[in-house]
Amino acid sequence: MTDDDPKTKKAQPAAEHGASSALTPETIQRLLRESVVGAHELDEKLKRVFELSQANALVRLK
Amino acid sequence: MVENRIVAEAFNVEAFEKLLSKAAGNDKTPVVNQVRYLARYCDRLGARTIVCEEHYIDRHFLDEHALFYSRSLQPPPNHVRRFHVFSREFSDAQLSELLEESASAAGQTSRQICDDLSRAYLGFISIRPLRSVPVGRTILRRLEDGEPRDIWATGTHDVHLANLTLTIDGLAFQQQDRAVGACATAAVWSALSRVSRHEGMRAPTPAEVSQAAGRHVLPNGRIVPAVAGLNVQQLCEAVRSSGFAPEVVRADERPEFFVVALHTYLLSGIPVVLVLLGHDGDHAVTAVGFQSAAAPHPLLQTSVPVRSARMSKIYIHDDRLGPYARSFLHPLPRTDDFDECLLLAIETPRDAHGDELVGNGTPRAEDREEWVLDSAIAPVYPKLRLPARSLITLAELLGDLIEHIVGPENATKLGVEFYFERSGSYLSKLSGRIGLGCAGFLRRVALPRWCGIVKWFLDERPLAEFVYDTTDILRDEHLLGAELLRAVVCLDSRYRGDFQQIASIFPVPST
Repeated sequence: MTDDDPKTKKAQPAAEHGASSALTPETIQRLLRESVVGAHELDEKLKRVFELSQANALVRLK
Repeated sequence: MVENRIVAEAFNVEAFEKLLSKAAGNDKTPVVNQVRYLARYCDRLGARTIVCEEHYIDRHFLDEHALFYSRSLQPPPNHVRRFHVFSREFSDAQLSELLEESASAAGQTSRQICDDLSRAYLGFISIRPLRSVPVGRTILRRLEDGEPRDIWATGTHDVHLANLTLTIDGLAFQQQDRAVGACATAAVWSALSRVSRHEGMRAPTPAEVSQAAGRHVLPNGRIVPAVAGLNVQQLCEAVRSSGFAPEVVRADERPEFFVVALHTYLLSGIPVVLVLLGHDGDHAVTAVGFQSAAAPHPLLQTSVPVRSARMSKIYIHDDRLGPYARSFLHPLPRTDDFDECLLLAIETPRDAHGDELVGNGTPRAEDREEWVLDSAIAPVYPKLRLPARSLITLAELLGDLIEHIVGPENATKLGVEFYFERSGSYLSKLSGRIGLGCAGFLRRVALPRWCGIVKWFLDERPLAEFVYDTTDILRDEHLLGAELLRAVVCLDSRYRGDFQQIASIFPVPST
């Protein structure tokens, strides 16, 4: 039997539930690569959130 | 001669208020807010019996005494009175029987007596001999707030009462005394008391926190007396001096990510000091837990489907009120006149009957006091170097991949949250979640003391966890987080093949 054999597919519980996405290493690499720019932009925005400004640092608490 | 006196009596809320006030030497002036709050809080917890310990040396008050009060012309005593609160009814005579039974029993039976009593133990309140600021170190059980979605950054404490060892889960609270500590001192002290004990260290005292805060920078003048208050920079210094790293986050720049960070630290069991801006001055409180709503708030959503967007209530230790006070997060959108911001509405004891102080219902709008959230400080273990910010970035990197795995029809049902956990605890909590055949994974996986976890959910059920090394930083997103990823844990067997495939790319152990 090969991976394409319908009997093989039927035997896999994940396929029965329609859950498996049949990820290939190439797809994983592609999807990750495509996310890099967005992640980098988000990280740049987050830098300002995770650093206090001078005004934040000098808030006086009584 | 120094002698203790331990007495049990029935709980009654009005009588308890008077008892606490009297213990501080205050039987003439009105009962202070914190005492009224504590009495009502104990009532809501289901208090039935009070055991008063007349002479207790509290290390935290002793340090305040040594730093300030001992050098007064007329110093107060150096001990506190402790009031232990129980949800079980027993008389003073029955307390004697319990002490004798425990003293005469063998080890295991004695332990059993303590365990039984601990189930009814609601915690203790220390009353300092300071009339206007009586509430010293207090640890009380959390109040169930009617919803099962509560998360708490609290710890377990052993409490000794005569020959009994009782246990209580909670976070230490105390009222600022304005001599040794300000509100910020109390807030940082509460947070440090949890993380220090969790790391096996001795929790710093308020006096130590104050002195550390003012060791290098004095922008507002002298630290003791503490009337001038502290600034955020000084709080960071106090955290650093206590052996922790101050992780800071600001709320005035992308509030939705501030909420992600707050959610992350509380989920990690790390209390967070919140800096609040008010009309009549600024204030600090300690966030100790939260409750989530059923649906996310649109203004708290981000490009990744963060579960923090559902955070609605925050439980705070507010030294003006008491422990576990309820507050509500209100994100406000940007307008022509104002930037977007986060409001924190704190329930205040304005109700004439005090019913809303620790109530279960929705309080009236006029019983809330609104503050603008400015920033937050989380004291983290110094070698936990990967910030919450990087976990968000790593989730963004994985987002498309996870959506591909679950399919477009399920993409809207995805959720993600972030937390840090000690690796030993993390691995032991995998029991019952990853099933048979995990021995190979457990033998291979290598984690630092603290790991960072990006946890994905599908339709409210755990889907998978990506476990990261926290001893380094995310240097270059182009490496896809590969340098930090240490394990992939699949929690939904339908997708095991997909997550194993991802793990093999990096390559890291997977379940």
